[in-house]
Order: sequence, then C-alpha cells, then structure tokens
Amino acid sequence: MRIKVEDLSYVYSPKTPFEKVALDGVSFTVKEGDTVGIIGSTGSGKSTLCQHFNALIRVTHGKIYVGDVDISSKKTDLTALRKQVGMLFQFPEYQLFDDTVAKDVQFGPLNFGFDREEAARLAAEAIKMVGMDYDEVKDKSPFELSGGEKRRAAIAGVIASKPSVLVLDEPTAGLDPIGKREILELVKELKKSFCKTVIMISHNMDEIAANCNRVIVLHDGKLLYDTTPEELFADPEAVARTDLGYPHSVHIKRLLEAKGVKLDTAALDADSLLEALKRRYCV
Amino acid sequence: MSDKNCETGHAEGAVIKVDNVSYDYRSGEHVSRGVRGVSLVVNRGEFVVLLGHNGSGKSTLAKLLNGFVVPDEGTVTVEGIDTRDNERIYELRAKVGMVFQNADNQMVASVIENDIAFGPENLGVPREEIEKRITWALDAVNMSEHRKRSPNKLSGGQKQRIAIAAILAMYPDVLILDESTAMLDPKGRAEIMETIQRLNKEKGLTVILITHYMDEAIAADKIFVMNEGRVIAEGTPREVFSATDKIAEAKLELPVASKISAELRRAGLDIPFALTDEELTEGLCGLK
Amino acid sequence: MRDITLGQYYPADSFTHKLDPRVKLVLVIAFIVMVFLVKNLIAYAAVILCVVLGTLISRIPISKVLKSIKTIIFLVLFTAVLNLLFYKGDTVLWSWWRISVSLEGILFSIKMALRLILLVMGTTLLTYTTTPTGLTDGMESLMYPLKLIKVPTHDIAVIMSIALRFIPILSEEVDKIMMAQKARGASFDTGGIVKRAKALLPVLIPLFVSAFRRADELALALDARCYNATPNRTRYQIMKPTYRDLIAVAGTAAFIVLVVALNMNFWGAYVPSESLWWLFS
Repeated sequence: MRIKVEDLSYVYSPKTPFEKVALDGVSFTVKEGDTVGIIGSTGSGKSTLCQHFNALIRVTHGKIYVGDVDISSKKTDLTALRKQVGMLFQFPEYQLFDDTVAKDVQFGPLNFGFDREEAARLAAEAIKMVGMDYDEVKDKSPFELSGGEKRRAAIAGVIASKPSVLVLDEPTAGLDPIGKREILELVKELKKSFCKTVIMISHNMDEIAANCNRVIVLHDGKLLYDTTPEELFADPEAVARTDLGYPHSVHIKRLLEAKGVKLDTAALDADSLLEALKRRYCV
Repeated sequence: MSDKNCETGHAEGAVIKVDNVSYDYRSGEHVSRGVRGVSLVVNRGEFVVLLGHNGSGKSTLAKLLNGFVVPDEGTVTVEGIDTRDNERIYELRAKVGMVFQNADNQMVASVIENDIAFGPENLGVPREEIEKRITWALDAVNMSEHRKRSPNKLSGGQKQRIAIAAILAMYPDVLILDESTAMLDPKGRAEIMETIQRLNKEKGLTVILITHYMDEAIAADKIFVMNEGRVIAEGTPREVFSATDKIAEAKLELPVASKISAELRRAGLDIPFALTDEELTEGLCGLK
Repeated sequence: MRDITLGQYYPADSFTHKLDPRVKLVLVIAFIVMVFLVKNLIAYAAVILCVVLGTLISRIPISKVLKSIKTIIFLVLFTAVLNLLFYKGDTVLWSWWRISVSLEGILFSIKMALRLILLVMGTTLLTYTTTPTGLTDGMESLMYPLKLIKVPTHDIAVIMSIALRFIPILSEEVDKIMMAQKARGASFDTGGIVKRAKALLPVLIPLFVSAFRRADELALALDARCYNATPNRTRYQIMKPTYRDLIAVAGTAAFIVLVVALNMNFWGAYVPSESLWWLFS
C-alpha cells in the first residue's frame, strides 16, 4: 500500500492565542514495502503527521492518498481506512479493557465488520504471532498479565485485523532489551506476511538505522530530509541539524575514520560494523 | 545533604547495609517472587547502579531500601536504622529519598516551588529554611527559571529533574532513582544522567540508580546485576561488563562498543575490553 | 493546547495577585452578594466600574477577560432573548401570540445579561490572580473552624491540590485512549444513547485502570516525601494580610455601600427627572 502526502499542513487551535503550526507543507511518498523511520526532536510534528495516516486527525490543508483513496475527502470511509492502516501508540498496554485477552484482541476485528467466528480466528492468529500461547492466555484477564505480556496482547489487538500498513509511535519506549528485540523481530515478521509497509517514529537512532530503509526528518513541522539512513548518517551537517545524534555503530566508524581508519561499510548496525572490523583486522 | 553537611561530613563507610534479605509479594494464596538472599553494602558518596530486566527484582530491592516493604528474612539498615523500626520510618525516608518512574505521578502541586516545598513542609522545616532549600534544590537540577511555573508544559526530562529537586529539598543522604529514566527519550535520559552524576561528584550525594540500560552504568562506582531476585554479578563496570555470560544470563544488552570489543577479542584480536565508543576506537588504533 | 493545570491563573505582579487568597475568597463572595443586590441600572454602572477597576489593577489583559465572557456568551444571549420575549411588562412595544416585547422587558433582559457577565468577570478575576495552591491554602485556612471539630482540613486541601494537578493529566489520557481505540475501529459518535454509552467502556476502563495505577505510585511518592510525618507541619506559602488587603476590603466595602445607596436612590434624596426614570427602575 502506497501512501502519498502532498503539501500537508496542520495548525492546532487556529486563530487563537494558542495557535501552533504543527506541520508546514510536508510532501513525500511511502512506497509499498518501505520501512520508513520518522525522526525529529520533540515537538517537530512527528505524531501529528502519523495521526493523519488513519484520519485520527483529518486533513485540513493538503492531500493524503492511501493507495488510491484520497483520505482528505470528507466522504472517506474511516472504518475501511483504519482497518487498512493499523496504528500502535506509545504504551499500547494502556488501551486494554476487556475481561479476557481473546475478547480484547477481537475488539478491532469486530469493529471492522468481521463476524464473531472470523474475529475469533483472527485473534487467535494474532496472539500466536506476538509469541503468546493462545490457549493459555485467551481466558485470562489482560490485567493479570505481566508488563511485557500486556504490551504483546495490545499489539495483537492492533495487528489482528491484518492491516497492510502499520504505524508505530515509539514502539520500544519503556521496554527492557528483551522486550525491544521482540517487538523489532515482530515487525520484521509482519513485513514478511500481510503488513508490507511500516512507518515508525523513534528517538532511538540505533533502531532507525538498523530497521528502516528510509528516513523522514521533521524539524519545526517542516520536512528537512527524505533520504536513506546511509546518506543521512553519512552527512554530519544533516545529523547536527536533526539534533538526534548518530547510531552507536556509525559513531564508532566515524571515530575510526577521524584516526585514518577507513571501513568498507555504512555501519548501520553493530553486526555490519563487527563484520567490517573483522575483515579489516582479523586476517 | 546540605552543602554544610558535606563539609563537616560523616565518616566514610556504609550508608546502607542489606544483609541476606528475602522478600515475596503475597496476596491471599498467591505468592510471587521479590528478592532472594540479597546482601549488599552501599558506601557514602558512591554511585551505585542496580541492573536488571523487568521482573528481575531490582525495584523490590529499591522498595526494601526505604522501608516501603520490610524483609521477610534478613535485615536492611540505613545509617544504623533498621527499616522495620516503625518509630523512625520518616527519619529513614527523609534520609533515603526515592524518585519513581513517572514524574507526573509524583507531583502534588500545580506550581513547581509549591511542589518542592511539600517534602520539607511535611518534615516541619521552618519557612525561611524551606525558601532556601527550594532555591538550592532547583539550582542543583538547573531548573531555577521554572520556579513559579506549572510542571505541565515541561519535557519528560525536565519533569523528572523537578521530581529529583523535590526529593533533594528534604536533604537526603541517599538518592534512589527507581527506573526514573525508563520512560524518557535519549535526550531526557542524558539530562538525568548528567544531573545525578553532577550531584554525586560535586555534592557528594550517594546515588543508587535502578535501570535496565547498561550504558547508564558505565560511570558507576559499583554495579549489582540482578536476575530472578538474586544478585548474580557485582563489581566495577569493567568487571561486570566483561562478564558477558552473566550479562546474557541477566537478559541485558551490552553497549555496542562493549559487544564489539568482546566479539573481536573472541576472534583473537588483542584489544582491551571497551566500555565506550572512544575506548574501542583507541584499542583498535593501538593495533595498527 | 492550553495549560489547564493552572486553571486560568495568569501570572503577573499586580496588587491583586499579592492579596491574601483568603481575603480574595471573602471579597469574591461579597461581590457575588453585591451583584445579586443590585436593582437599577445606575447601581449596575457602579458594579461595572468596580469590576473594570479590579481588572485594571490586576493587570489582566482585556483579551483574557473577553475570552472568559466568550465562554458564556451563548447562555447570556439565550436568556436575554427569552427574557425579552416573555417578560410581562406594562409598556408593550410589540406583541404577537404569547410573545410581547416591552420596555420593562428590555430593561430586565439587559440587567440579567449584565448580572451574568459581571458574575463571570468578578469570579474569574479571582482565578486569574490566584494560583490553585493559593486557592486551596486559602480554603483550608477559611475552614479552620472545622478543624477544631476534628475535620481533617489539611488532608482535604492536599486532595484538592492533587485533584487540580491530575485533571489535565487525566483529560490528556482520555484523548490518548480514545485515539487508540478509534484506531482499532471504535466509534464514539454514532448510534443511540445506549450504544454510545457502551462504546465508552473501552475508554473508561483503561482510564480507571490508569488512574488507579497512578494513585498507587502517587501514594508511594507521598510516603517518600514523608507525608504525615509530623503533626507540626510547616507551611511555605504564608498568608499574612497586609495593608493591601485592608485597602482591598475598604474599597470593596465602599462599593457595596455605594451600590446599596444607588439602589435606594440615596434613600430618596435624589428625585430623577422624568426622562431618566429607566436608570433608577
């Protein structure tokens, strides 16, 4: 599913003393199969932008096309759109509400018009997909689960309706290393099956560099760069402007380069840096 | 923990002693593991980090340190006060200040200076003295210009610095941060790390940081690694980080530089184990 | 985007801002009584003067004051129109079916509109110039007689203060949860009343869970800060009436006397000319 954003602007509380321009003439296209990282400091407009993709914020200026559908139109079928574009918020465990995990995960599919049987089947699939034992957890209250399990159940609730686009707002915030790894693995799994297009907001440059094939850099509501992680992190001026720093692996590569050691890698993750170092030093 | 206190200074030595402590959470029939057979000592002026993944027992240990929970077995003493001593519990809590995960849930007033005054007010500190403490505490976390403002418009890191100031105003001897960096973005985390390291170095405050981010432990004097309620490794950052099997057992993740240096050493390269990007670079350049 | 933590508090360094919150609370109550005492338009003029002076002294920008009126303007217009059309007056200017517009009706609806606007302007003056902490401390102090009969007035004040702090946090949380559930296909604005109420469960339950989780952490945080450590709690924010409070009280009292006097037409000492009767009715 391709997403095309054309000249998108958004103003909070327009024509009041609290007026704030959140997005200012942003245009870019997300191709099917892309994993796009959206980065920028707090208040740069990342969340506002992402909430446009499934019309949680309606387009007020500019256009957005999801596939061929113009979602800026007032007549957009919101239910169909939200079924297609799934959205995972920060701390998704705070949205759990039903008395059993199975019912909670079925909430989305039922809202999106699947019948009970189909919804139950989708829920079972999703719960397995996030790595939980369906039979063990299905009748448990979501509030009895451990912190990590809660987050997984909540994610199951978002992916149960098999969205073809998934938008993640800081998916790993507050998680320990295992939790982080699990979520990023899950995103890779999803990309192999029904969810080909992924858009993620993150402050963690290591995650962006290792997982995204494209990055969109926002600054004060404007699109600053639409590029690849290789190019962004190879451009010190761009990194300085984003105020977000380098991924650790790129940082190490740059320190080595400053001492005259050239490496044949963009060093976007620890593994590729390690391989390059082995090639350079272990012969 | 006033500047004056620091000058006169107490003798070097143990501030907190945890002696073979076990504690389980019980609700009705249900028992869940807290900590098992933990012993540790924190000395005055140290920067100590408790590392562990979620559910490793590190937060339970924190709650044992200021008497929120008391041990089933063993004893916890803070400057000689047993945490079971109900008569002295407030004295103990004023000595061992604790900051939690979510700064929003720790503030009681809508204006920052009033929030910071809350602790000293509860301790019966005279008004003029509270005034001084607010000024001092806000200065210590570099938030003086926000004194008369509302905490709501602040960033996560700034809110957490206010939460720290609110504890500092009680002049504690020990500051415990119970996963206070977990919900922050990298910038907020950096702010908190800078603040607590400065308080530790300049004001001699004893700091206990509880976290699952290993990179926050690099500057520690001493690290305790927890897993399944037990301390499975302890020592200096270099000792603990290089015990890679223990780190794996604790389900933690080494900083990139440490991971790479460990792998390269395993591959036969003669470089020192690195804690930071700079150390790794130096080690590699030393090879030539 | 407005910061509702501070309620409407508008930080400034004015005479009114420095007044003792207790005095302000009492004065506002006196002001409300005064507004309800007012009978004729000339007395209204005195009250308007009182509010305008108060606003000027407080250094509240006029735009802020207008904004507070804007929130009630619909109510004001609505009641004014009703009063205008249904007030039974003697001097009928126009009538149709049961509706009639009379001169007395016009006067009455103007007075009612003025009364509402003045009430809002006067009370917002209190909230604009007093921090929530000031308000809760003031109320706690005014509740002192209750403390003598063992009512825990300090706990009540702490609860009020915490409530004021958490209202904006929880309202933000409601927005977040609603967004998350909308993203899962929930709809909050379709169907009948039962369906809509049911649709709120996925918002209310997470909200309660979150509120309890916050309350748990807050309880620990209160303990960590030695809440109830000593009965001899001290107070950072002192409230001590100064000469300013005396001036404010005297000023308000003067206005009340003036209003009463105008109401009674200076005890009949002044006989208005025929053409000015409407000012004094």
